[in-house]
Amino acid sequence: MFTTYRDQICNVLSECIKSGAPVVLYPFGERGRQVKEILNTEFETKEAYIVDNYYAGEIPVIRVGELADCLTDDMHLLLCCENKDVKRQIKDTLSFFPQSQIIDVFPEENNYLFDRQQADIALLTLNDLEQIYSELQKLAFDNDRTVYTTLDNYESDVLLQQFETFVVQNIKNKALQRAYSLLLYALLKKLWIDENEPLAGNAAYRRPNSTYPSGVYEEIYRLQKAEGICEEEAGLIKSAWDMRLFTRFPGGHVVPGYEKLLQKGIAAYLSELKEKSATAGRETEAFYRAEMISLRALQELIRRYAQLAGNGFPHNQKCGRIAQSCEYIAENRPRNFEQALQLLWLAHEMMIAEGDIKGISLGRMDQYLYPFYQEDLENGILDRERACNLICSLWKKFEFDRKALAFQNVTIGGGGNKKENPLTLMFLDAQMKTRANQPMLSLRVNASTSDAVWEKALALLSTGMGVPALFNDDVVVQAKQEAGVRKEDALDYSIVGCVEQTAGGKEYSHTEGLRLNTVKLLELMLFKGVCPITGGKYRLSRVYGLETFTDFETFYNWYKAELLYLLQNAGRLLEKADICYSENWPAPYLSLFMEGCFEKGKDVTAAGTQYCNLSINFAGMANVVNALISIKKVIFEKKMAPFPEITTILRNNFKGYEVIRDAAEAAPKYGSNNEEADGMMQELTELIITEMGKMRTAGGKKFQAGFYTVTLHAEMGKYLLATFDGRKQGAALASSLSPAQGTDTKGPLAVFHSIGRLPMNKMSNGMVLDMRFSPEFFKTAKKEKMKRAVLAYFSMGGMELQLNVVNQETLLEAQRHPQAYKSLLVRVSGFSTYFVELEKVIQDEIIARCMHRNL
Amino acid sequence: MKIVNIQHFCFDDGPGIRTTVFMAGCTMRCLWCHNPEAVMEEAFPYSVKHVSTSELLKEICEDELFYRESKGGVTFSGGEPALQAEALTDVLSGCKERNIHVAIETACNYPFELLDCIFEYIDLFIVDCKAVSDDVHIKCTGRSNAVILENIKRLSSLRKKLWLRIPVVWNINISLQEMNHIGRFLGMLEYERVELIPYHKMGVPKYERYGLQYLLKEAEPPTKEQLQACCDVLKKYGVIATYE
Repeated sequence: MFTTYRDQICNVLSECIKSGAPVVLYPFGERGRQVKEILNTEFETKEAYIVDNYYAGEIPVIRVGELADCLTDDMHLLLCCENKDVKRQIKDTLSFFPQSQIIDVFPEENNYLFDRQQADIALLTLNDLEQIYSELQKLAFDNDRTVYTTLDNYESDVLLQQFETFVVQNIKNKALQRAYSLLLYALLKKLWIDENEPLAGNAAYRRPNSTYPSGVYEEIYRLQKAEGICEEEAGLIKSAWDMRLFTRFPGGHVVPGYEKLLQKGIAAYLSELKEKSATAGRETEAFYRAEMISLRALQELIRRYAQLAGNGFPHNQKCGRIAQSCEYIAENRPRNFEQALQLLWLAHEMMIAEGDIKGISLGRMDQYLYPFYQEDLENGILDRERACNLICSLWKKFEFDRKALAFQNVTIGGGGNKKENPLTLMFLDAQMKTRANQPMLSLRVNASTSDAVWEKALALLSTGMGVPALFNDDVVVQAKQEAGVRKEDALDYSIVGCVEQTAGGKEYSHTEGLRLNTVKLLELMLFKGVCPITGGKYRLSRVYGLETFTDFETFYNWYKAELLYLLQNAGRLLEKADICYSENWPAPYLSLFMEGCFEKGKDVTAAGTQYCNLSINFAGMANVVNALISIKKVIFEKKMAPFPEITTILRNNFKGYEVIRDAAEAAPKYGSNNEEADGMMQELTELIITEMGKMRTAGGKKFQAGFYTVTLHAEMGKYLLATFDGRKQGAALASSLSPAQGTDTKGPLAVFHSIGRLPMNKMSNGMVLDMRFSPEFFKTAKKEKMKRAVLAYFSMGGMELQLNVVNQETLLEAQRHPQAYKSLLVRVSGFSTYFVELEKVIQDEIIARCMHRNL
Repeated sequence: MKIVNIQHFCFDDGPGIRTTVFMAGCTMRCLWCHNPEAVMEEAFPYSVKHVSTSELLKEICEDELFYRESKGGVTFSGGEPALQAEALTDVLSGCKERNIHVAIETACNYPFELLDCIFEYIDLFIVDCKAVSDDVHIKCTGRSNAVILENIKRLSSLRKKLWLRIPVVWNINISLQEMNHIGRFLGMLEYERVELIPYHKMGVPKYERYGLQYLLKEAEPPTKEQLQACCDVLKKYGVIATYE
C-alpha cells in the first residue's frame, strides 16, 4: 500500500512530538526540507539541529563532525532520506548515539507519493503492475503492438515511479533496467504541444531514479563492494571528498552522434539492430536487447507526439504539420530541414530522459544540418525566415528547464574539411533573437573564419551573454591529438559541456570525472595531512615539520612530489571508479549514437567507443602559484615570520598579521606578465601534463588534463582556510586558468602574455580564460580591434577565450568589492580606464549609463 | 624621462591596439584638462615617474605581437611629449628599428624645430584644434594659437599622417560661429581624419582630490544634436568629421 510523504512525515513527527524530545534532522536534502517544513508549520515546533556536511545555504546547519558535541541522549534524530545506502552510511557515523533514538522517517524506498490526490491511482496492486509490465514487455519485442496511454501529469509521474521501482527490483541487468525505464517514460510521459511552436517536444527533467548514482558516497560504497577497496581507503576517499580535495561528476559530457540517426532513420536502424542481435553471442545479447528497447522507446515517444498533434489543438495551427512530421520520422529518415530538427530534438529529449544529462552537447550542428537546409532551399520549400524561426523554436526547447539542462553546447563554424555555412550565421542570429541561455554556442576560430561570422559573434558577445566562446582550432586539434585522437577526428572536434573538446559521436571520456584542488594540497602539507576545516585526514607521501625547511626550493620540491603522488593515486582511483561506473550505470540509449558501441556490442560506459580517456581537471592553479611565490618572498627571503607560524597566520585568517598579508599580496602574481610567477605556473602545468601523459589504466586508457573550473572554484574555496597568496578564508579560488581575482593589475595584454607561456596545446581536456570588458570595447568601430586582440592571443598559442561584457550588476559588485575587480576596464568617452580607480560619482555615472543601455 | 603612466590595450589613441605613454609636462592650461597630473607636475609630485630609455622601450615592445596583428603601435601622449623630444629620440628610433608604428599626441605649441630630432620616426600626428579664433583659444587654454595653427599647416604640407581632433565643450570653446572658423581652417588642409571629442567630466574628481580649483564646473557634455550640428557646419567646408 502506498502512502503520501506528508502522511508519513506527520505520523512519524506526531510520535516524536508526543514524547517531547528535541528533534534533529539529518540529512538536509529534499526530504529533510519537507520534514522541516511540516515540523515548523504543522507542529509549530523548531528543530534542535539540522545536520548536513555539504549544505551551504542560509539556514545554520551543523556538520557531521560536530554531531558528537551537539547530540544529547534525549534527542530524536530523524533520518530524512530514502536511499538505503545513505542511511546505512549515516548510521555508521552515529555509533556513539543510542540507536533507539534514531528514527527512520522513510523506512521504505520509493514507496511514497507526493500528493493525496495521487493516492487513488496509486492504489494499484502488485498484480496490476505485473500485468502492465508484461504488456510493456510484449510491446518491446513485438513491432505490431502500440500502447498509448492518456494520463495526466500526476498520474504519469506516480506510475512511472512505481514501474521503475518494479523494473529495478525485477530485472538484474542494469542496461535493461535503464532501457525499460526509458520505455516507460516514453509511454507514460505527459505530453503537450506548446502554443504556436512549429516543433513538438518538451524536455521534462525527472529526478534520476535508482538506476543513477546518487553521489560520490554511493560510488564509494559500490567501489568497496565491487573493487575491493578497503574500509580505510574508502574512509580516506570520503574524507578527501568532504574537504573538497576533489569533486566528481561522472557520466554525461558527451556529444552523441545524432547525425547518424538523421542519416539513417529509425526503422532502418532498428532492423540493423535486429539483425545484429539475432547473431549476437551470449555476452552481447543483453546489450543489443537494451539498444532495441531504447530505440523503440524513442519511436514510441515520437508516435505519441504524432497522435497528440493529430488530434489537433486550437492554440496551435501547425499541429497538422507536426503530426505529419512525427508520423514520418517515427520510421523514416527525415526528408526536410523541419523534420531533421524535429527528430534531432526528440532524440535529445529522450537523451535527457535517460538521465545522464550533464553536459550532453549537440556537436557541429551547423554542419550536419546543412545538407537538409540546402536541399530544402534548392527545392524551394524553405526560406531563410522560416528556417530561422524553426531554429529559434528549437533554441527555446533547449532552455526549457534552465537549471536542469545546463551545458548543452552547440559547436559552430568551419574547420577541418568542413566550411562554415549560412547556418553558422543563422545560429548566431537565433541566439541574438531568443537571448536564450541554452544552448551554449562555441565558435571554432581559424584562418577561414569569415568577417561576417566575426561580426555577428562579436555583436552577440557585446550583449554580455558570454557566447559564443571562442576556440582556436590549431591549438585544440593539437591537444586532441596529444590525447590519442587521430588527426581526421581531431580536426572534426566539437565542444562538450563547458569547454571540453571531443571527437563528436566517437568519444566518451568522463570529462568531469575528477577535479583536483591543487591549493588544498598545499594546505594539507602545511597542516600535516589534516584538513583544518573538516578535521578529515589525507595521506601525504611524506610528512615534514615546517621547521625543517631552511630554503624555499626544498619545500617547493616537496610540493611537486606530493602533486605527483596525488595524481598517481587519483589515476588509480579513477580507473577503479570507471570500471565500477560501467558495471552499475550503463547508458544503452546513449550507446545507440556512439560509434563503436553497435559494432562491438559494448556499452558506451564500457569502452564501447573508439576514444575513451579518463579526465582530471585542476582548480586553484593561480592560487597555489601565488601562494608558493608569497611563501618564497615573505617567509624565506624577507623572513617576516618563521615558517611554522604560517599555520597560525592562516588559521587566524591574517587577523593580526595584516602586514604579512600586505607583503604576501605584493609578491609577484601569475597573470601580470611576471617572469617568476608565470614561470612557476608553466612548470607546474607541464609537470602535471607530462605525468598524466605517462599514466595508463590496465585497459590502456589514457589520461587527459583540463584546466577549467566551471563554478567549482567557489565551492572549493568554501572548504579552504585563508591561503598565503592573500586570499581570505572561504573566498573563491581563481576561476579556471584566469589570474586570481584582483591580481591581473597589468591589464588584459599582460594576462595574454602570462597565459601564452603555458602548454595549452597539451591541455587535452580544455582550459578557460575569462576576460571582462565594458560594452564600449565592442562598439562597432572597435570590434575589429577586439577581434585582432583575440587573434594575437590565439597566435601566441591561446586555446580558448571567454569574453564577458560587464553588466550593471558586475559594476555594482565592483563598487562594493573593488579589490576583486582591480583589472576591470571601462571605456569612458574615448578612453579606457580601470573602473575601481574612478571616483564614486563617475562610477555611478557609468553604472547609470549601463542601465540606460539595457532599457 | 618623466612620465605619469603607461597604458596598454588602448583602442582610441591611433590605429589598432596601442600602448599609450603619458608624458609629464605641458605648455598648455586647458580648462577641461582631464590629465592635470601630467600638466601640473608641481601639484602632483607623486604622479611623476622617471624611466630610462631601455625600460620604456622594453615595456613598449612587450605588446609587439598585438601591434602587428592589429596594425597598432605606441602613442606618446601627455602632457606634451614634444617637451621631452630629445630624451625620446632613442626610444622612438628603437621603435622604428622594430617596425613599431609611432603616434604622437601633441598640442604643437612650440617652435617646430623642437621636433627635429624625432620627426622622422613619427608615423602619425594627432593634434587638437581647440579653437581658431585666438581670443577663444586664449580664454580656454591660456595660450595663443598662432604657433599652433602655423605648425598644423606645416604638418599638413609635409604630408605627414595627421589626425585632427576638436574637443567640444559647448559654449566654452565651441559655438556654431567658432565651428565655421574651424571648418574654414581645416578645409584648406591635408589630413587623414577629423574627430570630435565630446567633453566629459572624468577629470573633475582629480582636481577635488588634490584641492585644485576646477574652472569648468558648470559645463555639461554636449548633446548628440550639438555634435551633429558641429558636423553639419564642417561639412559645408568639405570636412567630414566623426564622433563616438
